[in-house]
Amino acid sequence: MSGIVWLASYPKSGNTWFRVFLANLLADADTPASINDLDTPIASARELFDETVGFDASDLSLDEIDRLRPEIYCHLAGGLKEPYFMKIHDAWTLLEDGRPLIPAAATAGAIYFTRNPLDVAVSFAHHSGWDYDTAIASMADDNFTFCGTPTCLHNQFRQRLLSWSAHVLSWVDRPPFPVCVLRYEDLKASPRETFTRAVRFAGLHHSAVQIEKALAFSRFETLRRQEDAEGFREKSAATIRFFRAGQAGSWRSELNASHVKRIVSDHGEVMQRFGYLDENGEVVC
Amino acid sequence: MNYYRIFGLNIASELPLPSRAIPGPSPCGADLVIVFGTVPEMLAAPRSNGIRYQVAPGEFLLQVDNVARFYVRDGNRITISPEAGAGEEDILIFLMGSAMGALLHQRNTLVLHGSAIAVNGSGVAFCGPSGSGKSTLAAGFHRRGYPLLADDLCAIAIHDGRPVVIPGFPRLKLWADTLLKLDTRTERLQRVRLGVQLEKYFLPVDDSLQEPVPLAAVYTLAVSNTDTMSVTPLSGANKVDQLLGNTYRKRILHGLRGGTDHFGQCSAVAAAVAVKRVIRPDRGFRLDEMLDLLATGFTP
Repeated sequence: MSGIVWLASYPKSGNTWFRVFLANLLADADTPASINDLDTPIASARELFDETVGFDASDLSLDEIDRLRPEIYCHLAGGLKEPYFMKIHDAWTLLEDGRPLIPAAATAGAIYFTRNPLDVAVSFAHHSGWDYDTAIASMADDNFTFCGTPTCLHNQFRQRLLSWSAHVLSWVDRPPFPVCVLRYEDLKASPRETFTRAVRFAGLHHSAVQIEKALAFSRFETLRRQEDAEGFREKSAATIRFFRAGQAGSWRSELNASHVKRIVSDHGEVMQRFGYLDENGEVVC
Repeated sequence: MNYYRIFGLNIASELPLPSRAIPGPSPCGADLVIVFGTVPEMLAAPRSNGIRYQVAPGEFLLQVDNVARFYVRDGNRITISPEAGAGEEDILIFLMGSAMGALLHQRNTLVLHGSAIAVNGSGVAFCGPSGSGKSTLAAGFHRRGYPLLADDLCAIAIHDGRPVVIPGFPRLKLWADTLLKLDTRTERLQRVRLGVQLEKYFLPVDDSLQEPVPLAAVYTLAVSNTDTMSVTPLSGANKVDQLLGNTYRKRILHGLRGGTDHFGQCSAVAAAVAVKRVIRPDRGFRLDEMLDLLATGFTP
């Protein structure tokens, strides 16, 4: 399988944890890989653009940049012999001219990480330096966008995330390429089975022993120790640490009843579909 | 024709350039002619290409959608074929960027991706990726009275064994938010692009420095998500690596003339000047604090 394997998710849904696992799996070394050396760039990174296109993205409007992005991914995929992993937080959307931002021609497949939006709200708020109400409002905003103002240079390109529900559905139902959906909660509860499923989906043939070692090297405590010792370059400047709790279900002690009610009302349908609500509308995990 | 002297070149250009016009034509002829005309669809034997450019020895072809195609040849000619409806302002910014960068590469000039100011008659360059703060620092120092030598493309030649900075366009490209921090109003400034939504402006600067000045130091900029602000002098191979890494459009350069003499140029510059690594916090540019910190390292 050649082409780009997208590691797609709404923010704070296990993407980085998986990338650390993948770095360890591919390195197959005797010590844990550095969290500051994850070779899975984000699709909205500026560095990729200028050298691939031939002129500066910083002299283009946000729409002009978007129109070139599909071709950049095709150009990149054209030279690939092995699966190449890229992280992405954009929703899977169409440009104004109808072309997909993430084209099938550049793609081997996508691994999509989903997480209980109640936990996402808690983690997203900490990550961004927001209160919970702001995080919840952002997750309900159909036009939610990263790096979308045209008055300054952002370190990444504009990313349209849409609402949390629309983000999930955009990646799970719309793309004309294979998508492997993984729940953060399953990565936590049954790591061996869940990570192995992703490894096989990506066309990698690593053994059970190699997968086990990569999992051991990407334990939360290891990541946190590394971040304490040397920092993490992907951490948002708005927060103290990136690897904060790494748990499923922390919303129970963090959110109040009205927060929970709003999230369930905003996202109940998708929550039910992915097993975060039971048939009675009660929160499951 | 309009006549200019930019990057040490006598330029004859059909497209008016943002620089002081000089009486022309020069008796020695033009080093560079910029004309409107027909441009090849593609190169016969490209050595490398991106999604909007092709490169072969002595040839560079660039296509900017809805703006223009640029054909840069033999280090002495740029032909521009505008797209229907494109304005001169929109053409200019790409001419001043990739097209001029490729031309200087063709002339074997080392081009760093950075801006430069003059400090007591010597050049100090600030290099780094887009968004690292090169232009902002140059603008801050310019406001403190240091003459500007270059913005975005910093051309370096070796004169009598010593690296010199060759002054470029007397313009800074600045974002609206940066101009706000510099207390500069945008109403009277020309936009970098007219055809599209982009809040970026040209700030004209003092153009008294026209002749090359010796290069004293290169600062390479990086952004950190901590509160750290630091300047670290580099030595040996680290200096060369920083200059190689901060060369303008490396892939285009290597397609034009391979990488060997590029390494030689960077080694020669590294041997002659100070190279320092600057880390600045991502949050809040803290411009004055940074200018103070850097200025303490300037040779009096």
